[in-house]
Amino acid sequence: MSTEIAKVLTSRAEEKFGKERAEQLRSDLQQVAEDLEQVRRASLENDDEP
Amino acid sequence: MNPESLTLTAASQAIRDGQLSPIDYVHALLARIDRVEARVRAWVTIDREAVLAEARRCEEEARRKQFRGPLHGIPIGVKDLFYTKGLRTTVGSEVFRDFVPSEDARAVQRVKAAGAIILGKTVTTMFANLDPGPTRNPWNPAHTPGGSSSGSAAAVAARMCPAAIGSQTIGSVGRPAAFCGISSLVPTQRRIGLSRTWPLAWSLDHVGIMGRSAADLEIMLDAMSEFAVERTRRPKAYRIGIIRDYFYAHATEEARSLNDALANKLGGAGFQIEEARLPAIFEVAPAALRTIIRAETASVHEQIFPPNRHTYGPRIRAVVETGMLIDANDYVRARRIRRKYQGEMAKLFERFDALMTPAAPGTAPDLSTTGDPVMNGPWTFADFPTMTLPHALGGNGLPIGVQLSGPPLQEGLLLELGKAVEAVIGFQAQPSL
Repeated sequence: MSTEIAKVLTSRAEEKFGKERAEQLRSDLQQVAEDLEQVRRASLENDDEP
Repeated sequence: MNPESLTLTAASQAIRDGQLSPIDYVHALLARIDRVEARVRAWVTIDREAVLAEARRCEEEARRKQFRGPLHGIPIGVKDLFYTKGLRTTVGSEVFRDFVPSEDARAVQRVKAAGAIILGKTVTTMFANLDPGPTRNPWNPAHTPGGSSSGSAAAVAARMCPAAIGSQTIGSVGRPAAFCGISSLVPTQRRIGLSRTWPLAWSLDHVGIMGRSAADLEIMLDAMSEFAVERTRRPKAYRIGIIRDYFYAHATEEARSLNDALANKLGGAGFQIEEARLPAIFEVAPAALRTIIRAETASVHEQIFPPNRHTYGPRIRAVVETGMLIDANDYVRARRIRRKYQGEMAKLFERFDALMTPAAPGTAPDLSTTGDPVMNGPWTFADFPTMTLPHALGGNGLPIGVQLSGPPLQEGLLLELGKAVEAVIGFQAQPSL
């Protein structure tokens, strides 16, 4: 899943900052993708909200 | 009397007793800065004339036995992201190179109202992030003082001021305090106002205090707190939960071993020490924390980043740029995880008065980094008040700290416990400068 997220992030980064900068950010984007995967998989219920 | 060696507590009492002149105190600290600053590089701006003028005012008032508050005549260092009226505030960046605020930050207002003299502005890493600044560790200049409150920690450790104000979003106070062998307190976020403080990430930013004893931190907190600090009666025996799993996995063998030795020592001194276990949600907390920081930092820098990106350090630039790519839905999920995490973590205090971990993975690393905030982030994320105390020296002669966290808004309990722990530790070492 994080690979898919990384692809989406890379595509956005290329659009926003250009291909060269997106390439420079590759390891950061991978870390962001891994973090987002965890965030999206976390168990949250509506009842968790106060 | 050697004024530079006085703790804030001792200096405050000496001023009240008429044994220490605020002018002499300031002269002694400025002379100390002249002697050691070239090796430490803790300061960005010092307005000596303004400092001396303020010291003269404090002295005149002290002669008349008029004391503005518990910090009367005490020179304080202020991290260079808190606005200071008439005094340059650079936020560690070229973008703010010539910025002179017209008002003080709330935290600065509070210490001034209590009688403090703003000795100067201390180095922050660029925009309070992870790009190392010029400051060196007073214990060994080949090592980082930590960050982002690098100058505040180094200045206090180097005896250039008795206390300083810092800020923490992940580990920007606790980590430099541990690396520099001083004490620190990061209270619950709403305890000290953040207005006119340049943000890193609004929902996670905290004002922090650095000093050389738990009693110093208490005096500073009383002066800076927006509402009274509740005092609690000392229990028969403090119950401390030592958390090993996640924290020991990120610590050096030396840090683990020294932390265990301290736990044993505290146990022998009558503290109840038991293992505490983290809730399952702890596993996702670091990812949620980083997600919130990226998104909020990108928002903070939305206007100033595009025309100034070439001046940004590589680490802060990457945070801003990756933050611009995060969806609202992911940000909201991360905030919801935080809320759930805070509830689950608070249950630990049903069994314990405080939780104990190493304050940093080990001693200060070299100057290529400001060190890893991995030990501090979980507590900032929980918004639990957290104290760091120095307790040992590593094999390389650099300090090691212990971190104690208490229930939200229970800073009074944490400070009392900190004083009791400090008495058992008996840490006396100082950097030789």
